[in-house]
Amino acid sequence: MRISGLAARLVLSPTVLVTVVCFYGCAVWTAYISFTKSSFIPNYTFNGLAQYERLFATPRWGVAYTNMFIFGVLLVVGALAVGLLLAIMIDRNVRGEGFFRTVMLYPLSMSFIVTGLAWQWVLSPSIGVQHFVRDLGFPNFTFDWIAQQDRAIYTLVFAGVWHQAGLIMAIMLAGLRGVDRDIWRATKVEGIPTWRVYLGIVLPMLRPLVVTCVVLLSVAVVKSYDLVVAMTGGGPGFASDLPGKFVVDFSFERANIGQASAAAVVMLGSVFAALAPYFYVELRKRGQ
Amino acid sequence: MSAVQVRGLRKSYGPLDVLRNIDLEVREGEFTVLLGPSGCGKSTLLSAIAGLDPVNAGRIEIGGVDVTDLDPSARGIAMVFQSYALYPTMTVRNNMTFGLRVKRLPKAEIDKRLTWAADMLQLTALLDRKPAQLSGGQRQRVAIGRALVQQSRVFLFDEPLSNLDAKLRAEMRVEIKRLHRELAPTVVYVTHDQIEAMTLATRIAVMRGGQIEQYATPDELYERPQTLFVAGFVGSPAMNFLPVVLRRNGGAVAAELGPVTIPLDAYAFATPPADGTQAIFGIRPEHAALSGAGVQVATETLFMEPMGADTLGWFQLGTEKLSARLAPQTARGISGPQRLALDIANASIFARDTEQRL
Ligand SMILES: Nc1ncnc2c1ncn2[C@@H]1O[C@H](COP(=O)(O)OP(=O)(O)OP(=O)(O)O)[C@@H](O)[C@H]1O
Ligand SMILES: [Mg+2]
Repeated sequence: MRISGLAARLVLSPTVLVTVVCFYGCAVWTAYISFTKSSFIPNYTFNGLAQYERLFATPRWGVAYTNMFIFGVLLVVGALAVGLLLAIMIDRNVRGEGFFRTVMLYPLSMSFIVTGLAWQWVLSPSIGVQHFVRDLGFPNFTFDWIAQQDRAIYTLVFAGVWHQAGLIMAIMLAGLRGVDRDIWRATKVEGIPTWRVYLGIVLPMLRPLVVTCVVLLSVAVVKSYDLVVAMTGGGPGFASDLPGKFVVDFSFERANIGQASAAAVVMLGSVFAALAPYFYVELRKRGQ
Repeated sequence: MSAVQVRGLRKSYGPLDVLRNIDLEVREGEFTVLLGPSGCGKSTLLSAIAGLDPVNAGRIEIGGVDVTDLDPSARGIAMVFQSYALYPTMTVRNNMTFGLRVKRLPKAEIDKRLTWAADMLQLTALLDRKPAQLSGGQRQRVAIGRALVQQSRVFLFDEPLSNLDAKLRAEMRVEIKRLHRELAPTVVYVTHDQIEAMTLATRIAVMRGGQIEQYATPDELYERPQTLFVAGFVGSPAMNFLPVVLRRNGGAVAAELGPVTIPLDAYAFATPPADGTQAIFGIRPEHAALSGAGVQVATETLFMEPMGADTLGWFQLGTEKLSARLAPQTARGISGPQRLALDIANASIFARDTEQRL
């Protein structure tokens, strides 16, 4: 017992060390840097909120920050809705289930980089859908969202949903399969229409799974740097920029570690602020 | 008038015939129990009546209407499931009223039915709880309540008590019996517990391998089982079965068990059997006594099995073992050779080949 406990601790200690130093340590260090005069290299002179003031005065940050919410909300809602619908379809029509499940899960096995490049080609006006449909004989057909300032961010949402929906589907499908067969039979005897059963009975039962999905999707939103880089490069201009890309660009290309740190801290704070009420409600419910 | 009528029902899963030509008639207000061992097709028959699973052939009428092709909800039935099938995220109140609200019944009517059913089942104090906060017995009462508020004339129960412990089961049995007496609905009730069947049923259909072996009142079933299977399945402690050869001597029939001969003059044969018929002589433990009238047989005491109210005494009769139900005080101190009196009028005799009653 003691020996195995010690062994377990030994095996776990590198992980714990990495977590503490790299995650929490770096987070604290980043937060600290954001309150200093750092620019090209770390400078530990305390400078109050100056970095933040400068950050919010930067138009590119404003766009990136807003985009995070547009992208985040639409991706979470979109992937949940699409994943759930797919799961319900597969659950209702059992034939070909294995095939569909594999097809839907396939995107997830690709990195965001590949996803981004693939969708960049598909949506590119000169070689993708627009070009294809024009060649079919509709010369006025236009679909160039990826090249439009105010639309480009939605193409990112589109690719993100495509990428994540399979995972949501797989999780939801497992949940749907777990619903007691007798519950369905009881509702049939009572004459409750199928859609009411889903809305009123089955989805509330899957609530814990929805929470899991929201967490997974939120993580995908926050770390979606590669998708932007591969698909739009943040463009046109910086119309489809996201905070993740902003932070990386400022740390490495622009070599402004102070601004990057401030942006990272705002990002972290926003994620907390956005998710805290949700988890508060959910966890309190669970506790009851 | 018959509330439920099943004619020539067949159902198979691939090559497996689960129901073979079932005929069943349940009269208005009757409590019919489908009894049988696991896998004999009881649930399948109930689902067929409910319309939850398609059947291969046959016709089902409920309240005189052919419902064979109707949806479950159009058949005028309510159903209670073994797993209760409560909606876990809804309160008891919503569990019971969800179906009614979906059907857009007036609120006053819904409230009236809810109050009535909750009252009937002592659920009033539990209405705002979730199923997870209820005990097994309470959950089952909610499931029954959900069926009650639908105010159907026909109730289907699929082993509703089998997930409860013995004490609760006995309580719920009384509860269900009371409900049936007060509301007099037509009930089809599946169980493999014969005590449940005997106490609740007005008629019992004993099933085996997708067929109904006998459909009769509990008394009839117990006293005059039509097949060897029914005789062995119903009754606890089980009936004694002795392999015998029937001998005819003029009008008199006797059973030969090795060197032992049991005269069967008191037995009412449906048709007089031929001489030399291979048969099974069945006698319940309470119809073998240490004293009294009946055919006397010489036995050797083996051992006593106390069961509380009675003691089951085991005796050697020729090459076979025979059990007799004895009063505990009589059973004490019994040993050695004993004469047992067999009540032949209450015995059951079956042909060994067809297993049918003779
Ligand atoms: N969906 C199915 N596919 C194939 N076979 C099935 C299916 N459902 C039931 N069966 C078979 O049909 C037979 C009867 O099943 P059923 O559920 O009616 O038995 P039962 O009498 O209710 O038994 P129990 O007392 O265990 O509930 C069983 O042999 C079972 O294996
Ligand atoms: Mg069953």
